[in-house]
Amino acid sequence: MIKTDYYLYAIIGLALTLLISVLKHIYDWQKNRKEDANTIREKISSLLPKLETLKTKPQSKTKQPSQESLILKEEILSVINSIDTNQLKEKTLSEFQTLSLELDDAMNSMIYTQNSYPIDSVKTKIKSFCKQLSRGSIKIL
Amino acid sequence: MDNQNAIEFDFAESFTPYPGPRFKDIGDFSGEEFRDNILENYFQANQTIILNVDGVLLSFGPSFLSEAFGQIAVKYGYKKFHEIIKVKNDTDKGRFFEKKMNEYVDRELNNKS
Repeated sequence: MIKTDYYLYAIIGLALTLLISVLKHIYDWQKNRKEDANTIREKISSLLPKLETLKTKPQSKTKQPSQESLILKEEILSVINSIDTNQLKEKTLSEFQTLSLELDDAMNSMIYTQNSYPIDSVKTKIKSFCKQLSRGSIKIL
Repeated sequence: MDNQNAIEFDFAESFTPYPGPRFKDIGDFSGEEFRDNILENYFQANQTIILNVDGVLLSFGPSFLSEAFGQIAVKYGYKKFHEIIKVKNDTDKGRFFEKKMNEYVDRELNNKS
């Protein structure tokens, strides 16, 4: 009887250890996901002032972008390119690509044709994307 | 067609070191211009090209990639696209370009279906 109890306690002890280990793993995984989502959100948010600055850069009237505009465009694309798309779930990747395309089209409208309207529109979409990342409604792996 | 018959296309030297916007009517060296004036010829001739982007000085914008490569993949299909277009991917720049190009090709093909 004592021997049976000993085995029972040992099994319960092992099961509890295993459970704690699994829970800790899940907790760490969720924490890392949250940190990764925050990093992505911070990167995307950092585009907002850059886009506002782009509107102030001198623009050529011959559909040739100014050197200053191109430098800023490159900075913005570097931020977009620094986001590891392997981290994004399929649906989020698609949403991120849509945002990137709209952002790029808006930048080009500004620097090639001096049309600033698309920039204002894409800024609203960037804010919305960041809010969804904060709420966790946009998923990363 | 195998890589032995492929032609290397130096993007910076033969097109531009500064890839432009999506459409021709927005600005020069657009994705649309590259697709219509360059890529289309290679597809018509069934000639494999190896894109070398090492000399490009400005990052490829998503709209350029989508319009140039995504749209031609939609026209000719996934298999033909990868038969004709290869990327010189022995540098970080080449590998990153290939990854991004494929992302937007896959996107356009998925949107089509």
